[in-house]
Amino acid sequence: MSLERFAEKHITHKKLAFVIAALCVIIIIQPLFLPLTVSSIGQDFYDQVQTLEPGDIVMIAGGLSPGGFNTARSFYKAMFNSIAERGAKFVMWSVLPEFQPLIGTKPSEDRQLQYCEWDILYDFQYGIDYAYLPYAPGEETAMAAVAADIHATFSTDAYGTPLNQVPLLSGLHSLSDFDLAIFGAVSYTVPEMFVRQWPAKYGIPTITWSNYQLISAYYGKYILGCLDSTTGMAEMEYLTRTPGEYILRMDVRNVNVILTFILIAIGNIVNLQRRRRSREAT
Amino acid sequence: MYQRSIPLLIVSIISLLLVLEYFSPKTSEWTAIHGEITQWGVIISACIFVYGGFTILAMHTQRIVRGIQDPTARAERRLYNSCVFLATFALYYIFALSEGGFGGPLAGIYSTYIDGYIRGAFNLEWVFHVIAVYQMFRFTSIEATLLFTGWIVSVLRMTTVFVYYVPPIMDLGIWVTTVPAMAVMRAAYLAMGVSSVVLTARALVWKEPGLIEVEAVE
Repeated sequence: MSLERFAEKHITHKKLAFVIAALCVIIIIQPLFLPLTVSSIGQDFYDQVQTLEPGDIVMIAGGLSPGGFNTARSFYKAMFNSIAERGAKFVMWSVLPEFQPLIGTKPSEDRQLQYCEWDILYDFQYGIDYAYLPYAPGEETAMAAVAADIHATFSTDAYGTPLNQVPLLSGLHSLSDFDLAIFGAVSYTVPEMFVRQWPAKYGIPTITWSNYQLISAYYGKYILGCLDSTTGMAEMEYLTRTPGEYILRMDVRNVNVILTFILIAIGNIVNLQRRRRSREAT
Repeated sequence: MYQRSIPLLIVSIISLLLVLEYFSPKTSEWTAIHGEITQWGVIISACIFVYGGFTILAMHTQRIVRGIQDPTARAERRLYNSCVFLATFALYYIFALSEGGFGGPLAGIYSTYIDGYIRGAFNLEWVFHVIAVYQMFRFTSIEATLLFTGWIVSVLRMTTVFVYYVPPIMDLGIWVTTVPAMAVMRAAYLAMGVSSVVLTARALVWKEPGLIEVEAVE
């Protein structure tokens, strides 16, 4: 069978979907642990976290939701625990209303976040070492409002406790009261909103887990570190010596990309063969 | 006409105040204005959410009514979509109401799996990614070859095993993202920004049909 006939018969959506799914399952069962090089921007992210000192306070914001957290939980564990390990505290705020189902109705109900084990590993207590702010609608307007005055934007924390009764939040007012801001977003408009409203306005050191292409114009001045989507998250797991699901995903991606290159090569060979035959015919 | 002119006027005044505030010395008056505007922004956004929620519910209810009356395949498909939407919507609220809030265990499990399902469906695009590059990246023209070059640099940068053996690809990929890609994005943003200002000015003096009129014509 010629390559052309093979391509026509076998390179179809259905068969490719099956091959890709099979490759994913094989790698999940038997990880390859292919080598990984940390990018300069990923190293910057890690280094910024390492500059935190005991007592520093970090503002963490992004599209935190149950599904989002669960698909990236090993990365979140690596990131949150690297902050906790430095003795820093953090406040979490999500630009998505699905944040509440993630954290539950009281501190003991944030079961999904308990995967990170910061309470076991670092004896973190809600309200003292970490706290959650409620959802506020308006995306960029909400980012501006939260940065300007937390107490004017919210009267309570995400569990309905008045802010003045939450030890960590009672003394925090604007973004200037924080030592580091971390935001994460993969949608195409949100990262720039954060840049405009947070580091550009308050001068706070800011790092992000977002697509690098969305913040590259601000890199070095407003953004001091970046975990570039899946690769960046795998880098964080690698740097913190907590290999998890993202390292595995990189195995899957590497194998899939090799498959893609093989297909591109086949496509071009088939194309050349057709052109040659067409020239010969004329 | 007032349906677009009045909201545009409000947005224009607020935008002007925020622009003036950004370029003015940081006095307490300007800070107070900025604080007040952003607080109102959050309040208005919350109201829009409620309004948007009711509008979507009304739209899907209308589709169901029309779908029952209309025997065409398109209407039938819309009917099923709307039924699924309303059922999904209702289930979440039933869980939340039965548990006294959106943070309860059932609402949490529900949103976890719905969110996971959406992300799973989104990940299926990988199959289309592979088949698309197989079909698109045949070097039949300069455009296709250029497209392939940009694509391969971006993809190789994210392919860790390749970067491990050919480290310079990382810097090359970051440069492509930072310089040429960003230049194109900046040009597009600038064009969008200037166009928005011109369109808003025209709409304020009633020289430009608004979204509502365009939808009404369609």
